Amino acid sequence: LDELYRRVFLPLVRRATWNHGLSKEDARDVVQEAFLLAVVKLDPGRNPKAWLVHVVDNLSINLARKASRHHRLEARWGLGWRDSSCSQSTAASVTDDEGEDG
Amino acid sequence: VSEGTIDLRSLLSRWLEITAGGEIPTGLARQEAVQHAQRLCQGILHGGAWESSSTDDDSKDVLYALVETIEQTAARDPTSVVRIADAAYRAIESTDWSADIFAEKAGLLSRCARAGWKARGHSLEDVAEFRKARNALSPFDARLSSEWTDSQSAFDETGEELEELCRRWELDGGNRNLSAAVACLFSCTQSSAPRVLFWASRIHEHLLASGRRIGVFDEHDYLTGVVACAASDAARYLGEFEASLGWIARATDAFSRTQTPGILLLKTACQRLVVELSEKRLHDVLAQAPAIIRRCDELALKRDALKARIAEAAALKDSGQYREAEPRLAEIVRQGEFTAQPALSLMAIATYGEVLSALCKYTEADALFTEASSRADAKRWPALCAHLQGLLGESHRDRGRMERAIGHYRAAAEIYERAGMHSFAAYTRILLAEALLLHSCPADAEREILSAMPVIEAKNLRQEGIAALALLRESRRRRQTVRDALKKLQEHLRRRI
Repeated sequence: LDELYRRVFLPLVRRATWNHGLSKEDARDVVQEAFLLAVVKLDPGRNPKAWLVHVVDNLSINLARKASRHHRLEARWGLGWRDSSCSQSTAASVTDDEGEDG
Repeated sequence: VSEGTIDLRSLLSRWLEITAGGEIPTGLARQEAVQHAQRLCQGILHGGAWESSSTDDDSKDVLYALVETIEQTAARDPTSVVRIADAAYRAIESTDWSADIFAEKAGLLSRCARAGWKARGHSLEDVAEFRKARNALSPFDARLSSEWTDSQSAFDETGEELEELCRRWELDGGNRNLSAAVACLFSCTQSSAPRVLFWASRIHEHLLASGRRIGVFDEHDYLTGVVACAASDAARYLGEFEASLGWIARATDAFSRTQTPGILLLKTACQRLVVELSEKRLHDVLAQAPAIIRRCDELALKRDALKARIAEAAALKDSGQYREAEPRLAEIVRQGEFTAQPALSLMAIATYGEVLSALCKYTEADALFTEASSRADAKRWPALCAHLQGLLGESHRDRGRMERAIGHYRAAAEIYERAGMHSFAAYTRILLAEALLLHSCPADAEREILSAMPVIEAKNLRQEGIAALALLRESRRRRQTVRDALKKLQEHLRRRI
């Protein structure tokens, strides 16, 4: 598990942080969510590395997009627009196009 | 990750169980990494050296933040960004990023180089285009690095200028002289192969040993590869095929570390094809050529595609498949790239002539050889000129015109000698000796064989040496032609040389 942490978890967290502009906390959540999806949906016929990268990228893009929408709404309407179902909706949208790179 | 999906799934499952609800460390916080990177940038701008090359997980975050800072600075301050990007490039390059499953190191290097080149007004595609066009002159784009002189001037191609430039470089160690010397290496590979090999080896050694990197970003590796390519060409012209392949391996090693490995490795693959052809590894050439040609066409590497096509056709010819070689060469000659690629085009004509000659179309073959000879510049391409003379000799010999054959062979041997290509000269002298014996001049034939012997021995062609000595004894004893034995020797030497 230590190897998994150093070789897979942390690089994917860095990817989500520095390639997609997420905070470390959001990046961690994205990678955890990608792992969860992998346990359920990862197809043995696919390249797991490419699959994980693809899912992390999609989850990060969706989260960044959602955050940007929140900022716009908050700027316009003030506080109170926090969406607590962010993770679930993001996961749902990822499952539609995951693993295209295979 | 890549070893087994099922194992990975069970591992991830365990991971999720253990980490559920707990805190997982994620390395340096974003803001902290950015602050550290900004301090590093300021340090570099004020002349500071890179502090550390450790690659713990916090340092990796700082490297990411640094690259992000460089990319953001590029638009605001293009002049300082090259310095910072280059320092970052070298720092990342020197880190030991073990078990880099997601190719993070390569990704960061690429982003650094792109940001730096962009600040100079170039894209990575511009750099690739420039390197694609590498042929005789400037090995790199002077615009990319202010250190380099613009090496587009023409060189004398005799090797004298190369000698002068290299000696100047040895005296002052400056990059300007080095740049000019490297550019000059390519202009006299044929005319001064021994000098080119000597200086290319010295420069290569210097580049590997030098603590100081040359150029920016991947230019040091690019230059190292280019010099190794020059050495490989020179070694091939000297008949040292194993050494030539060794240099290609060194070029491949250096090019694989650049930001444009695709085109550069393809170019070295073409170069390797030509050496394998010279070594008569015809099966290897025929097996690899189609894929190399296809890829060269896809990447618009015209010169290299032409080179690979000629090598493939020549391999077909050397393996006796004249009917297959003929239409390919006819097409290459018909498309004629005389202006853009004069030496390669003449080589294509010569090879076409050989095929026609083998198909007993002597008149057409002679016309091609004569045309090629009239176009070939003996000063620039002595190897090509000597080759053409040898082909004319062979054509006349096959038709029993020994006097003419002897003249051409003699001319070929002399050109090879003058260019320092002693292996080829020795080989040609054996052919000349054969023609002389057939022309009932055994004493002259013996002289030629004896003059070839030192080279045959020096190049470790022992069997050929023993055979040649036996022939000489026989020739002296009988003072008459030993046709079969000479033919056998000729074939044997052809295979070895």
